[in-house]
Amino acid sequence: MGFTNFYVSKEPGASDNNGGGPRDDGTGGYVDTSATATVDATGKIIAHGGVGWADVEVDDWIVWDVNNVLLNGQEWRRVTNIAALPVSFTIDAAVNGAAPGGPVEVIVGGHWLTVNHPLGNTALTDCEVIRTSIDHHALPTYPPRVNVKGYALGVNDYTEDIIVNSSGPVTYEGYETEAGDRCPNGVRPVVRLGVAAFLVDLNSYDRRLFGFFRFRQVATKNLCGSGGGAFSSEGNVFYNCWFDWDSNSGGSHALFDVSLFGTNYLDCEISITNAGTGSIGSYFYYSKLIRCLFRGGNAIITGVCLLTHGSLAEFCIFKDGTTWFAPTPYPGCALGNGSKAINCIVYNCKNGFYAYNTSGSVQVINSIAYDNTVEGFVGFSGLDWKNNCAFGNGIDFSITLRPNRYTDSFVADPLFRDAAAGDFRLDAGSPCIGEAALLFPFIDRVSESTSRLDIGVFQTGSVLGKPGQVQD
Amino acid sequence: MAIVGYFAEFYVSDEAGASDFNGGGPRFSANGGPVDSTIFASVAAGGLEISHGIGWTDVQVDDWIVWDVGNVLANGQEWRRVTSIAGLPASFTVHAAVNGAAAGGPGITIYVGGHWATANHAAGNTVGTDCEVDATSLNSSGYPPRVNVKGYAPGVYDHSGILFNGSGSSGRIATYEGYETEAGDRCPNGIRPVLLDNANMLLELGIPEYYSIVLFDCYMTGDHDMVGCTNPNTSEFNTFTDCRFTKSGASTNKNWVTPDINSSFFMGCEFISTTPNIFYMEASQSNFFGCLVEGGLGSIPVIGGPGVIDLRDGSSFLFSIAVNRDGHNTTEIYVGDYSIVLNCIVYCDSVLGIHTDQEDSIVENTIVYCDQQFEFYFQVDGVPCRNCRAYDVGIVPFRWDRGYINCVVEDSRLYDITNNRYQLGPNSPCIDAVDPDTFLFMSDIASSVMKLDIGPLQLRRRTKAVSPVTN
Repeated sequence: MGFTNFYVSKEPGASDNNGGGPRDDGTGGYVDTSATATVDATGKIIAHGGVGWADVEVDDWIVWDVNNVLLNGQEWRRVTNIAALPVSFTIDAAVNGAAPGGPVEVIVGGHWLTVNHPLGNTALTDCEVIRTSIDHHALPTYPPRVNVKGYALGVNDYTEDIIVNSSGPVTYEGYETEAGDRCPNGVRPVVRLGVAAFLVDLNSYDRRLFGFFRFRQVATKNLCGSGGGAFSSEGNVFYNCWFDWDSNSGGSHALFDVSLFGTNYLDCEISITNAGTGSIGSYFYYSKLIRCLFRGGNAIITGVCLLTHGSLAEFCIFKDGTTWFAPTPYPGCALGNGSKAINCIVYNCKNGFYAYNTSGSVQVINSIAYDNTVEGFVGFSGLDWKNNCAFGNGIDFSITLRPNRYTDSFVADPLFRDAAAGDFRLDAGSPCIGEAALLFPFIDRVSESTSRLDIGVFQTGSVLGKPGQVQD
Repeated sequence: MAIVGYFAEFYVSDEAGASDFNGGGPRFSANGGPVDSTIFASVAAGGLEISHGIGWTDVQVDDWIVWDVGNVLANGQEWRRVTSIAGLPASFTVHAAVNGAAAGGPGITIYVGGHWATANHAAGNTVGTDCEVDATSLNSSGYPPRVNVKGYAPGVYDHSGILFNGSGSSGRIATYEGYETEAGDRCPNGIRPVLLDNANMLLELGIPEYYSIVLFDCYMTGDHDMVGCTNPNTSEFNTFTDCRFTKSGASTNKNWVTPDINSSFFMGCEFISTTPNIFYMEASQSNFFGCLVEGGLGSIPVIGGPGVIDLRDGSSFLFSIAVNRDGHNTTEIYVGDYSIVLNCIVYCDSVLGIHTDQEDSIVENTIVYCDQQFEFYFQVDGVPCRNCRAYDVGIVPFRWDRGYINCVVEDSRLYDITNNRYQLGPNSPCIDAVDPDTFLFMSDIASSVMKLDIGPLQLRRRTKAVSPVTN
């Protein structure tokens, strides 16, 4: 698979739809689309020499080829040595989707500039991205993409807000500083050690951040939220990000809050270091959390994480919310208003999964509550939570606080490999293997194609059920 | 291994068809008295024998009742349909231990007994009666109504509509649960009843309305939206579990799902179009988990038009299957703004299998068989599309976009896709093929990588010695 279009940059740090550094000014010129070529099935050799990357510098990223620029996963490489730039490279039409022998038009070249953002954030420059920095290519307009050089803590730290009162989509993507593939693929950079909020006064939609990594909040602002009020942004996508807040810095604000409703979090880690009484945790409205880790956070209701207004968590872990200070819920995962937790784990909190209302049927399915000090599953009258496992909690399945129904659930050690060390894989013989709720049990057209996941987050795969064996 | 899976409390009904939070027939009057909570007992670890005759003197055949074979709470037979009055037991025993009390410990308070009546809903729908559920039918404790509907064949006890009257009932759980007419366990466990014919299901919802709806086998033949209401964005957070929505006949240009019920959740649901009319679903902030969508046609059947499944505003299609063999010039799944497709199968002869023009959408671990043109048709760059498989018999399997990671054109070797058997076959390359780099960057769980099959149907061998109770 590959890129089908490449755009030539004719200015430093041009934005383009393949990714590019931020424009140095708000009126940067058009991406140059004149350098196009028709590539037939035999490929086409493209010579460099000033078309698009005359301004390439060390640490820029460039289209680079080892045998096949599009297929080998090395499409983009960081330039570590100007002298080593190739004389030419070949684009193969076939890997651009053309039938063998057929032509395909490819706009060739492209690189992006590495920006160091050394001195804060000024409108139209540095990290701030506003609508005017979107290129003017024909519809659909491509969003700006800021590729942020990797940092170590204390190097090129930011002290200002990154996105302030901006509108329109923007992607921030970090990459590592060592030679290698583009991010994310290894140790990721620290992007910010700030004293201010990350997103401030949002008023529109679609901020996307990919591979943004390692934040530490040291001020009394929400890490990701609006300084300007609730429900001020939706549709954000955070992908492979790590948000970390050192609670010792003071303040009592949530990592995420209602200001970022309708946002997706995929493969993200949200953690609170030195969680104290002011560490509220995060609460999510209309949002989806998939394969995320939540660590730390203590508040009466929100606990480590609170899901409400139809939010969904799938394959998520909520842990280490034990520093609570009053006999009120402090759950690992609080749920209300139609929210669901599917294939999740709560470990080392006060309460595990905790419904605080029944609206829209709050549900917890295929999940594990493990070693929580008070209660593992705390439902609500009339709810029916299915296929859950509890073990080592003060009370595994609560029926006294909140009468609930727990269908197809059980108390047994899930046999995590090493929960204390963060290894939540199921060991061989775990009672959770294959015990998730049956998919498609009553669906007429696929009734023979029933299937089960494992309870919990980490799936054992087919090791215990190789092809040819009976599938139930 | 301790097994849980029971009702924690039982309430005695002191009226016919009382509602209670463990299930109950609809009240026959809008101001039916509260569930009688005065008849309770403290049950020690040794259990307590409860005589019948309290609370179900009005039991009739086809009602459901707390029934015991050995252990009323742990054997999965808590509720049974009454097939013979003469067969009612003289008494049954409630065991405290299975209600959470420690062995030998003090007793816990249990409200005993309970039954629900079967409602035939013979004559349409009237406020306060029959199928209609409103706040006044809740019992005094605020427990939600549960309407257990006798099984029907089409044309028998059809309903002209199930109306959720919005006045004051938000935040409640209204469960419609059918059960089979043959002797056996409680539904769902087999053939499901027809519940609805020729009408809308949700009408005139207020703002906000929250419902949990368990609904089986709804047949839609009229010119109506299946799940929605007449005013936009009038209800949210509804939950549909194990429901079947079937459309057939002459209806055109109607939705299975509309944005009117945004932020709703469909789990284990089946959407079937038995005729190639313009049936589609337009989801807004809604989630589908373990669902099947078969047939249908987008509202604008052109390339790039809305899909049969239109995911918008952060909707998701998870561990689900979409099948469309009607040969329409349409899109099967359109992935709109910040929507997600995860571990799904698309098997279609539509022009586009999965289409998006939104760079903030996500598609992962999904198999597409599309034998016309494009399996994956991404009109923008940067869409994270990982671990997908295209069985290319069309024109271009992966069109545009630079975000394809670990995506391959190959036969996924599903067991027998033409006969609706979608599990992975022997030696399928999709087994354990999800890129296991998930969680690699997380500080505390770096060693816990995922092993998952591509597609919704996972190969697993169950290892737990004791199966949990099924109730």
